Amino acid sequence: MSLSASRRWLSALLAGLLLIPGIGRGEPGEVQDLPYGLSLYHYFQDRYFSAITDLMVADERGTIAHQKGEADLLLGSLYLAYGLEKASGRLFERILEQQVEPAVADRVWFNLARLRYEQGALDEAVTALERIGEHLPPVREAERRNLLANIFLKQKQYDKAIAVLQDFAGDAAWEAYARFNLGVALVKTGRLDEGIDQLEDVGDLDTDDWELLALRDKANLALGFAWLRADQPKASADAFARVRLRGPLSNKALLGIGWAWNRQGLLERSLVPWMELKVRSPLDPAVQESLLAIPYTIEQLDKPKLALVNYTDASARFEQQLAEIRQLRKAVAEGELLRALRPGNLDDESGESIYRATLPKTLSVPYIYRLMASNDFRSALRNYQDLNYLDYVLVRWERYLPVFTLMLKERRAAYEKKLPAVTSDRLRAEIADLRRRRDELAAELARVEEEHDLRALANADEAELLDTLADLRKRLEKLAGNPDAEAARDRYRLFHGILTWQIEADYVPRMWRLKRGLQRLDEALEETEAQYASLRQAWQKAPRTFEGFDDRIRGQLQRIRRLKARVEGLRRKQEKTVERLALAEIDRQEQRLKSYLVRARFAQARIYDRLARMQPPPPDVVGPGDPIPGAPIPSSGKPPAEAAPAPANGEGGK
Amino acid sequence: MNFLRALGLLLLVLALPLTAEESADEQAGLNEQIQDLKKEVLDLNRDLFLLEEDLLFPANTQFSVFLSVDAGKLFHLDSVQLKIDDKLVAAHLYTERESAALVRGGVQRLYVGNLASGKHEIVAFFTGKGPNNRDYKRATSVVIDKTEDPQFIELKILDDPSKEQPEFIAKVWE
Repeated sequence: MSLSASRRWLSALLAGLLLIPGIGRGEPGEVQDLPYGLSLYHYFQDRYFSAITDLMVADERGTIAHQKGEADLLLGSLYLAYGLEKASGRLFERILEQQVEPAVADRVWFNLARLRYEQGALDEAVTALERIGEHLPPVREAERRNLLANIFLKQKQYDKAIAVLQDFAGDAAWEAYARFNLGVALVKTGRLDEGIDQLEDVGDLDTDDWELLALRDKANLALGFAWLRADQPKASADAFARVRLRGPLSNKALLGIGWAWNRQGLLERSLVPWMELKVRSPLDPAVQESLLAIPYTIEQLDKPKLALVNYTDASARFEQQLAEIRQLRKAVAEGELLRALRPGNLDDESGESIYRATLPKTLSVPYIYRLMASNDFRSALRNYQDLNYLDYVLVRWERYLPVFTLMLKERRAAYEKKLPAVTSDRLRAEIADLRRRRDELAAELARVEEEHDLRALANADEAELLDTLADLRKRLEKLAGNPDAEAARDRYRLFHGILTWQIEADYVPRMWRLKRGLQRLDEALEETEAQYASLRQAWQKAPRTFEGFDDRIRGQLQRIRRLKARVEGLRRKQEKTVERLALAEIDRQEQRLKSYLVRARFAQARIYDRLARMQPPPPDVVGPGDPIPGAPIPSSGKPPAEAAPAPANGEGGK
Repeated sequence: MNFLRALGLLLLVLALPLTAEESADEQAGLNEQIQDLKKEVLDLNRDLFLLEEDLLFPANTQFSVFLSVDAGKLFHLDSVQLKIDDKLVAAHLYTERESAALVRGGVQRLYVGNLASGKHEIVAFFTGKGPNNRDYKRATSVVIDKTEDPQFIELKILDDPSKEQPEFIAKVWE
């Protein structure tokens, strides 16, 4: 029994999460750089292409100032998740060449180990794991030990695996995995009792967690087959009985428990789980085996006629499945599968829409789902989806670039049209004239202040009165020495005094108002000059908003076209791969069905032969309970080969 | 006939490993080519993003609004609308996946555009479910003084446990 599938799933789930502070503990780490957070936003939606682009753009712009280390680790992990193993390895190695903190180095070594493990470079993975210091968080340390143990199990170095897993302490899930793998390693080294103890512990787990429930099922299934192989059918049946009836392993468990009872001589009882299997999906090998196991046991019960009926029924069902498979093969060969696998949404970056898509009737859906469950097929499909998305990206840019070119043309035209107005001397001369007039006003104000020129501060009425008074004064001067004018001179002095006093009394506010006005004028003038300077500067800079872009666009357009051609070429090849894998899986299923069909027919022939040799031959049918002496049992003396309890292979997977 | 079929089957079985090995090598080569191509398209995509940004959102006028959620227990975001100087410039309806990505610490770029130098009022309207799963609508605003440098605003949705209410703030990144 291997844990590869579920561990691979777990590993995929954890890919990348390892690198992000707080993720997995329910408290997202604080984002200190917006581009880093933006990449996380896409990453959390499985949009790896966008998440990688975010980090690459940020790297180019230098906009990640605080979390560069985290961002590099995330990028390495995203590369890995996106299938860019080479880029991921290069990045991790580059990080390690730098002087990084021990905690960062440990995480990088861990990810490098995971990468090497995925690549099948187990020795290199072990080396990387051994470089890890003491700075991994506890949950990662638990994963590190399990990964190391898995490698040793794959390398059949069971003692080393045992050494790594012994005295394991971690959270419940990792501890259960460790115990399972330890059990497997112990069994492999011949320490059966100890190994079975470990597996029994996992098989007795009291949990609601679906992942642990799945692990518990696996442990019990492994135990069931191990006990069966050790000719301990009672213990075997107990183990199989602990597997959930509706879980993904229930079919195998039902098949197994049937054999466990069969081996105990409880023949009729063994038919009960197989009858349950019989009504389940006939695509499952366990169900197919049950179709043979049922008549085999009925024959053991000495009811050859009934056995014959059941073998005939099994043959009919196998033939029906084979017909469906042949139809499926035809549909796949005619490109039906590839058409169905094309993304529903062109911009579907995560590739999810395929799994939500409605498959055409010609593609027998259950078979396709079985196909999609295989790792090779999923991996090929993922590459195919990625190529489709790359094509979408390239087509989109190819469509945008001419728009950019048009925009540049418009921008350039607008610039050239407005350039003369902006660069002409008229504006500059007008502003200079305003400045000159302002300076004259400022000088006049300074003079007024220095000379205390009250007249300059008089308003229009006051100025008129002052003019009148000045005229009067001149006239009075002509009458100098005339005593009759004395009264008029007194009145002149009075009026002049009053008027001067009025202006003098208001001198300070009037000067303040004038200065304030000048200040406002200064401000307005400065703003005008600044705007003019800014305008000139903007227009001097304007060519930068369109110069050089033409070459960049041309260059990128050529790159797009080259890459599009390569995407198309590889997409065609990948389509062939997907079809080849689909057909290979169909072949496998067909071969298995054919093999079962041969056995069923052989058994039918044998029973016919047995019935024919019986004396006297039964009139039409033999009653279900009638004994038929001398009926042959399968040549191996065992249950039908495929239906024989499979040995628990007990290999610890990833 | 049966013998011939059995022989054919045997030959097929014997031939399989070789074919599988050959196609495995071929597949490895194809995977390698796909890997290289993916990286090249990523490089191109980066360059085109830079080109687009340089062209459409020059540094002196560039203005971006980001959105983040901290905790997110007291408010479930359904949609957001963004107005600049009373003009609607962006609106977004969130899928469950996007909401979850925000709660997990992702930051969304809600808007990128151009803004002239000077003062501008930014207003964001949030709708969703508040405490006790009640419909909830709130707004937050900020006045910014746009300079000649690119400017970034982060709209943050926080939980205020003391008031048992969500909090909406706008942070100007320096």
